[in-house]
Amino acid sequence: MKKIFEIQKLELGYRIGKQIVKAVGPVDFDMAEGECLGLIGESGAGKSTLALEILGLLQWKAGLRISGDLRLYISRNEMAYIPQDPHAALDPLFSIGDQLREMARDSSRVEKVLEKVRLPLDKIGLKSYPHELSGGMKQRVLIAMALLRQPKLIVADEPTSSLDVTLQAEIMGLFREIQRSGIAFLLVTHQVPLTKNFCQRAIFMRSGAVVEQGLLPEVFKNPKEAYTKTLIESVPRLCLDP
Amino acid sequence: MKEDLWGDHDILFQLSGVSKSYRIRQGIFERGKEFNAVDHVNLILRCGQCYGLVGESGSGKTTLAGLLAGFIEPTDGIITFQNDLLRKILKRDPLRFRRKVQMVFQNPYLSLEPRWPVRKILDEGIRDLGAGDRNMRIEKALGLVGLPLPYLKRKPQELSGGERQRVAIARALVMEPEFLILDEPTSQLDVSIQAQIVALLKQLQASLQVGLLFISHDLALVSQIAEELLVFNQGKLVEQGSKRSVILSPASPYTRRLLDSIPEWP
Repeated sequence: MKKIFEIQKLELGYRIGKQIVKAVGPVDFDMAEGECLGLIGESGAGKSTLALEILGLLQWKAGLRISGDLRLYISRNEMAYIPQDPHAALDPLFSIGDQLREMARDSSRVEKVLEKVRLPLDKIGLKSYPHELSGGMKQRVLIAMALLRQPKLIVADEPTSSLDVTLQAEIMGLFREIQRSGIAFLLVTHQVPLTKNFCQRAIFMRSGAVVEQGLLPEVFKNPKEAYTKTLIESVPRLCLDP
Repeated sequence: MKEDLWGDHDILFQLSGVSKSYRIRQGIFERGKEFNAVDHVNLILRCGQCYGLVGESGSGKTTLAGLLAGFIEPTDGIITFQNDLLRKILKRDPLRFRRKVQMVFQNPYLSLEPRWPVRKILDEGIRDLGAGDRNMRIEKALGLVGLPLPYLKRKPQELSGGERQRVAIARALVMEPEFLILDEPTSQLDVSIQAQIVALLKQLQASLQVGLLFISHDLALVSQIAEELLVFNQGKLVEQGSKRSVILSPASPYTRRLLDSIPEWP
């Protein structure tokens, strides 16, 4: 399998005043083409920092690489990003159509992609503005934007955490479809069950360090570390007993 | 609802045809449309029971919580509390009602006064009691939520999210309430902390016999703690019943959709 990127002893941090505060590291892992990798951790684990560094966006958030190596085998133009909050990610002053066409190298693909993400165009139209759309529709627009880049890797940072549960199920279904077309996914999430039936491999992070990584579903069955076990057991299950 | 089935249980809240509508203004001069956040809800809540309220955003969960806690006045319908009109109780003796019904809010980062130490936060609701009684209640409540006594001197900024939510629960418990409304108490917290808070609530419910209304968008989470489920969709109560019957044989298609949306686990 060809690799997309390889991370070696990577340490990342943020500038706070004159100090540099370490947020991640050192971590080692890699990702192969078409692979689906889950990056799981709670708040402050450093998962978003790591995702931003892979996308080359960390410096815009006052972050920096302290040491280590990130070797990319694809261009950053072949990566796409789906952010957490669809309400904040779209420009409120531009119509959906304008924002989509800006992303597309070839604007004739816009309608095809919108069909793929099942955005009801007859209902909303390309001339509508973000405030006219619901959260789920906005997230679909963002997924369409990502697909317009014809990426080899999509980095999705908590893509469903600001959506309702029924929408979450729909969006995950859509991701599964996209993944079948051979696009690699890095799914950053705090919800362990989302990675089930979607990711082949998962990395568990806690306060900047990788606690455990391994193939799914083996890790879920026998987690080696206590923290991984706690995370897995913390997932609320449908409970019928009084 | 069959009265005789419950027998010894008293009715705490009774809602008949309760609606709350908000006016959405579309222009400066237009009167705007009416939007029913809660739409003709009929509901009976009984003492000591543990209710779970499930619904997605905009379904009217928080508005219903506000109606029960007396923060919001209904635009239509009648709410009674222990067979007395809630509107009258709030006018006559709001403190007595607040002692009996307490609320824990969604965001522990916003619901605690940042300038006050924990002791003052807990003390606020029981200022009219004697000093000894107050101290006893504060220490008892802190013990119930599993925080050590030195925490009384700390301010909210020195606490983690989970600890803050414990303080918020303790603030409700010092009043020794009969009914506790928890509005998405764990949605701002990490999953491992969420599990701790749910375990704490279960334990409190068993030991104190306090009635609970646990509000959440997560059906699986609610099923961990509630015995009776209420499902809300677009302001309407679409399903109500025991946990077993709602989960195993949901009558409303919306409940079925909610159940299908729960990610497969384990």
